[in-house]
Parts: sequence; C-alpha cells; structure tokens
Amino acid sequence: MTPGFDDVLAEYLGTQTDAFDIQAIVRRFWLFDFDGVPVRVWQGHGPVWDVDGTQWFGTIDAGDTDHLSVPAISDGRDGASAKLEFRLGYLDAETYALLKADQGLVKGRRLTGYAGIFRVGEGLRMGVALKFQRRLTMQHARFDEHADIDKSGTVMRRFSASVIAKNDNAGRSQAPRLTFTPEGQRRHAARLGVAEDKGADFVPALANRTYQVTN
Amino acid sequence: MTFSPEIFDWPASIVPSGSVFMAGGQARPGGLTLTATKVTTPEPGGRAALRMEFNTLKTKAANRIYSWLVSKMKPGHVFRVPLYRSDQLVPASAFGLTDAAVAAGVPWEGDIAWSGGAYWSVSPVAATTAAAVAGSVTVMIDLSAYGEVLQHGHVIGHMSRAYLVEAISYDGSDIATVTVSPPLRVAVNSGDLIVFRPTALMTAPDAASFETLFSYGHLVRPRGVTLIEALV
Repeated sequence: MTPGFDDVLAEYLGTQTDAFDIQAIVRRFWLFDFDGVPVRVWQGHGPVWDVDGTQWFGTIDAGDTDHLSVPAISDGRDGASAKLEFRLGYLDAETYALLKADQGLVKGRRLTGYAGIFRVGEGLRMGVALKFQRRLTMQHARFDEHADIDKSGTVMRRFSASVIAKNDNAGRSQAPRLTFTPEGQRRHAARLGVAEDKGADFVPALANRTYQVTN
Repeated sequence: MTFSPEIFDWPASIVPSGSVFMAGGQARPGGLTLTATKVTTPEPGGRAALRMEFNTLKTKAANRIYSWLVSKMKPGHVFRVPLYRSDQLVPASAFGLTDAAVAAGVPWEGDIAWSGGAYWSVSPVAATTAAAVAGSVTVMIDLSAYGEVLQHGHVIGHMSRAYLVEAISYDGSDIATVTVSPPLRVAVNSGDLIVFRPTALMTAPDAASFETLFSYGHLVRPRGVTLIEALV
C-alpha cells in the first residue's frame, strides 16, 4: 500500500528530540483546469510522473528561472478574497489559441494547488500521491503574445498567459442578505413543507440585552 | 507536425584542457527547526552540469571553428558534447584496450578507413538487462564481459545523455544494478547499449563566459564555460 503524503513527511521530520539535519523534498504542483486543456505544472526541473502516471511539466529552466510566477497566497479565514495573479511565462501555441478564443474555458474553472513529496531513489517517478493544498477559482485570463528578437537575429514568438484567481470567499458580499425572524423562518419552512419551525424563536429575545463579564 | 530541435555536435577541434561532469540537484535552504537542526530541500532530478576549461588553440582552423562556436552558443543552441579523457570515464584498459589502439581507432570491416583516412572512434558498450522508464534512477547493466570495472563516480551514457553512477552493486554474475543521477531522461529498453564514452546534450545559459577576443599576434584561448543539461 503506498504511503500517504503525511506519513512520508512525518518520517522525514522525525520526532521532536531527533537531532539530525532534515532533507524533506516537497514541491508545489499546480493544475490549471482549463476546459478541455488542463495544464499541469510543477515548480521544478523537467517532467515528473505522479502515481497515476500523469506527466507534470517543470517550470524551471536551465538558467534556474521559474517561469511560473505564483503570488503570495493569503489565508482565506479573514474573509478576504484577494485577486491572485498566476503568470505562465510560456504556453504552447495550441493551448494559447484555445484559451484566447474562448474565455469560457477559463471562467469559473478550478485552479488546484498540490504538494508533492519525493523520496530518495524514486527519481522523477513519484511513489506518493500528491496532497491537496488549496483550491482557487479562475476568473479570467490575460494574454500576452509578442515576438522576441535576440542578438543573433533569431525571432521567437512567445505566448504567455496570466490567470486571475480568487479563493472561495469571492462573491460573499453579493450573497442575498438574510434576517432571522421567527415569522421568516416559519414562512421559509412552510415553503419546504415543514409545518412548524421554532428554530428562530430565540432571536427576538436577544435584542436589547446587556451582558456583564465578571472575573 | 512535431518539432525536432536542432542539435549541433561539439566541434572536434575544441578540446578542453580539463572538464568535470556533475549531476544535478542543488539544495535549497529551508530553515531551522526548534531543535536547531537544519532543513534543506534538494532539487528532485535537477540538471547535470559540465564545466570545461581550455588551452590555447593551436591552428587557424581551430580559431575559425571557435569563432563559429562562440556565436552558436549564445542563442541557447543544444550541443552534443563528448566527455573527454578523464578519470570520470571507465579507463580503456578496463576493456582490454591499449592507449595506442584507442588512438588508432577502429576500421571498417576488411581494415578499410573512411575516405578521409580516419577510423571510427572506440566506443566500448555494455547491454542493459532490464527495462527502465524515463524518470526512474535504476539501470541493470550486464558487465560480465569486463568484470567489475564500472565504479562510483564514473559517467556512462545512453542515447546521447550522460549519467553519473551514484551507487552500484554487482551480483554473482557481474550484472550491475546502477543508480544514476540525473534520472533517466529517455526510457531504457532491455538490451539497449550503455556507452562508456558518453556524450551529453548540453546548452550554455551563460555563454558570455566562453567569449574571448581575437587579438593580433596572440593565440586564442577560450575561457571556461559551464554547460547545463538540455532537456530535449
């Protein structure tokens, strides 16, 4: 049975009293689930195969430049929904053309972040399944296409895309407001076929109360 | 239509005075734990590097080739670079060859040379005994013809990719189980030949370090360069 991510990471980290230098190899993996053309990348060198045999493409080139720029991702527990921009420095022409032609392939689709742990002796064939880290929803994509001319005169067409993604707090302030009153609750319940619903009867009693905290 | 990258062979007249092939995998620092132990995270896979330094070039033809090479390196072209004589390669004596035999080369059948008078260069090989997928790190090689000649630190090649022998163990019939670094870039089939005079597909992200000037009355000495493995 293949071990899970947490088990392997726990093995690497050892116990609290162990005193050896730790070499845990964990990298981030990103699945841009565009409709019909999912893009799977990881932040490392070269292709990697996960436990299902799916290939993920490395975003770091020979000059040690990471061509995927990932913003600092804030914790969503404060209710904020920051606009996060992921930039894919290079896209192949086919994916680029498809995405640009139809923003519907991007809007509302999921951007999922995973963590992958590598064990010694596995090379680039992972033996541990990727661990889910976070899920964002892509809003739209911005496209950039230009021709680079380098010093020797070689012309290269470069396609890149930026994806704007938000976490699941997005749109919360647009949700229809609810006010809890006993009458409203009964009306709502009746619509759903429940005869008597006293669930919100305590609410009026909360008004105009004073609470004192004594130590 | 699939794209086939253009790969240049490293010119035979530009021979390094010294070289070192290093497997990839830098470590990135990760911090300290509560017990003050260091956390590092090595690069999975990584890219191999080949550092070469050169002596002065002796002929006008070599200077001209250097002129071609220094321009070709900058746009990031991929080169097939042979690893030159060094202790990183299994010595010729391990295969029962003398230095003279290696220098002379191998003729065509019937002792015939190429039309230019040259012979084939010597390329000792051994066959693999099991398949291995791309991305894995273990290869099984049959060395029964030579004995236990392949050791830690040697560099071997397969399909124009060079790999460092990180770990090796032999069984009773001299079949070696080798752990290579970087991980296999191309799948190995059982029976594929592993070469002991490898070439590596490399690119030069820092090609400016190879530049030197042609100055009147002076010999050309190319400066050192570090080539990085190209994933082709």
